[in-house]
Amino acid sequence: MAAVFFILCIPVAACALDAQAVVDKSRIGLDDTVRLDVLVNGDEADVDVSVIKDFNIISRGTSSNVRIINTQVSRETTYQYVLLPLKEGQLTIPPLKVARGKETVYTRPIRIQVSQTGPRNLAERDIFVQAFVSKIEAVEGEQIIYTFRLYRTVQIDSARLQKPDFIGFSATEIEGNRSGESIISGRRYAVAEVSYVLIPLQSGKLEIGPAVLSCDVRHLGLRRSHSFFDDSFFNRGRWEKKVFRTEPLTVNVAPLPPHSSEVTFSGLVGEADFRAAIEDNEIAVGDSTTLTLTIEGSGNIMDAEEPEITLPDGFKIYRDAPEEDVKLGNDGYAGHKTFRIALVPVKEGDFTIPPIRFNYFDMAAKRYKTIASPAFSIRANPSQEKTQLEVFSADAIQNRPPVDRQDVKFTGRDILPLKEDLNALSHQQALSFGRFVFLALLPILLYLSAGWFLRFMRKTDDPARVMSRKAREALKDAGHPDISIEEFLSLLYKALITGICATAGASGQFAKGASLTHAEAEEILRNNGWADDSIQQAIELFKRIESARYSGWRVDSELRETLLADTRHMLRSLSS
Amino acid sequence: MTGRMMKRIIVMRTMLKKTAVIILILITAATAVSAAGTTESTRDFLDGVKYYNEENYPKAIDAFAKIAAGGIRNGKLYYNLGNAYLKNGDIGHAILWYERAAKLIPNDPDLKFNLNYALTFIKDKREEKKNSMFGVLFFWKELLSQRTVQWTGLILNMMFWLFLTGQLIRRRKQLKMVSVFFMTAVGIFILTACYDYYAAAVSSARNKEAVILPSSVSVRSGLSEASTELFVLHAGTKIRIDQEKNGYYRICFSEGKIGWIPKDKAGVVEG
Repeated sequence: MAAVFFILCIPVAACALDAQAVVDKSRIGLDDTVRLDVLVNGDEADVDVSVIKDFNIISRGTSSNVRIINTQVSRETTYQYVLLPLKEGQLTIPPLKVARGKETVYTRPIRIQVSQTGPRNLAERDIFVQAFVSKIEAVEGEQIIYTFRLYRTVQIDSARLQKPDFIGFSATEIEGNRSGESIISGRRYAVAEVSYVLIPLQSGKLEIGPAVLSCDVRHLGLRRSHSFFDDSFFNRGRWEKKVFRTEPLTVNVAPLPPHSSEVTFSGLVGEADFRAAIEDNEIAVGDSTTLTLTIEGSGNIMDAEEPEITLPDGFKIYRDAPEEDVKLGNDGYAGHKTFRIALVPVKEGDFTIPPIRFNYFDMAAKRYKTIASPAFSIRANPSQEKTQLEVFSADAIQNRPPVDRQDVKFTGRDILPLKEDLNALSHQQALSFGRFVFLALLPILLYLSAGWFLRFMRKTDDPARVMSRKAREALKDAGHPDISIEEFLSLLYKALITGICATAGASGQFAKGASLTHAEAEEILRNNGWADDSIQQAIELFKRIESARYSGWRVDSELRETLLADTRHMLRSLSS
Repeated sequence: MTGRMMKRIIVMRTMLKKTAVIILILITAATAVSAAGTTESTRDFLDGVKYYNEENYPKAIDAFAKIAAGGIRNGKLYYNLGNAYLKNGDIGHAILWYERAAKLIPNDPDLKFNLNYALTFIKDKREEKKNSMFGVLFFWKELLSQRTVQWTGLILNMMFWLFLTGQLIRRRKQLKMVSVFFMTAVGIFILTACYDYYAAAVSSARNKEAVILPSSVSVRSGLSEASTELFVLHAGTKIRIDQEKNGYYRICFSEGKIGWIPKDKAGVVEG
């Protein structure tokens, strides 16, 4: 169908954001749909369609379009909605709010004329839908079956059902759609059925809105010739998009009558049976026995609360999570719910658990009903650990059968207790990103500070200490066995002259390890108050090293050891 | 010293004395207010414990919630709130408070036990998440809490730089292998911690973790009760909130299952 669009609105605000709302038809039948497009320039925006009250939105979509004209790029986003009218008459699509960031514009309202169309007699139709409920009078919590049926004599495709909102009900679809045939006024219809179980959550007159089915209907055409090409194989017919809607329904939901029984109401509305059983009537103190309570029937079984149990003193109880096996069938929910409670006697004796009573609202009798279990007797014997003390001997241990180790299983379920320490009141501050970065950078700052400090300290080092350290280092290196004779003598020479310089705190050319003459060395030592014999020894050693270095002496290991020992001795004397 | 100068000194001394007295009064008042607040919280806490032990769970909830509303952020307090709600039969709030506690004391054994127990009551089956590449590469992140990653990173970082400082002071050449090993470990932990901060910032802006509070809630296609019900979630189920609008949250239960719920139907784990 060629879509002829009527541009009925222009944007009110003339700003960067621009929006228009357009529809494809302004006059439609009650079963027809109208397509609404909201055109927004630029990027995506938020379109508020919650204000549309006269129509149901049965589908929605978005598309965008980019145009390039003379190097100008423009983009347009289209929000598409398919609307189904809810009533006849002059209906209005109100101004729609379109927002993007801080910008907001409104479209102008659009009026649509909706009229009643089509034959009213169902049997005249090739296709129609119906909906009904199993009860129009119900009480709160009672199950109601809602059924939607599609009758057709023609082929359809792409069927899509939009169920009513079921406001005021809890609704669950019953799995497995049914289909069959039905004859109405002599016409044979194919019937498809979808059902939901509804449970009213409130009392009063509850309305169930229409269910909407949209599908493509095949029309074969009325003219029938006998041409070869009219054969059904070639004649694929014409497909037309159609929408069908059921009549709205009303259910009168009465509140549950006042509950006057002394037994607490379990919350179950339906038909039920209640059983209670105990696993073992005679147990030892500290052992457990399981009390099982089973509620079975139809209705909201899953909502049933555990019946009250009055236990004599001397029992601890541990509840397990209730087990549910509730299935949803054609008549609603049915199944059973089981509560298991582990009972542990803490003292010896005979105990009686009084009858356990279960109260529910019986739908058949339309009144509250109580079912009671029999009373249970439990004998708690003394603990076996106390009475069966054994005297173990080595033989007994050797001859005993191997222990059959078993998995440890929960015998009861409960949560661990409160934390009662007052430190629960201290504020736990999460480590913020700023503090994290600060703590990460702190050691780096420490490292850099240490580097700067050392560099500063090196600059301010006393020249005498520097020279003395250099002398020690040179001597230490000279003691290394792997170095050559030349290196050895060079290092000894360096150790001795830096040692002599250190006595004077000299720096400058001496600090750099430059050569020193005998006379200069003697002068330095003499100026610093050294005795003549010490000066003589130092100069003597100086000459021996120089002679070995420059005069081609054969330096064997013995001479090497002697020179090293003498230099070490001399440096000790100089540094003292 | 002239008389004028003496006068000035006396005026200054008087002003100093006055200022000292005012500061002392202010400090005393602030301490008193703080002590009063602490005393009230302590009383509420002890009341909460007492009510809980007496099985008066609604009152225990009120007492603990009052402390939490006062701004105290503590995993143990949140754990106690979770316990009180669970005992009161409110699975949604119980799991919400346990999840909040798990953000602060993730390795607490009592919390893990009780949270696991509470999770057995959830009706909605979690749909399996596909393994992301990030999850495979950083599998160990699942084993360590965010706090552990942060402090491990900081301690390793401190050790690394102290090692370098030591080497610097002893004038030794830095050992290349040890330095590279240290630096790699520090890099992994520090970068992971930074990613956690980034993810938390993005998550708080776009993707909030939340828990369904009522026994059941309809997730709808739009922002009104008249919108189509898409699916139903039950108390305690964890969801992600990715948008907030007109009193509604757009939530995501699993891939492909998104919709709108009223804001009061979900509790945000970390707001």
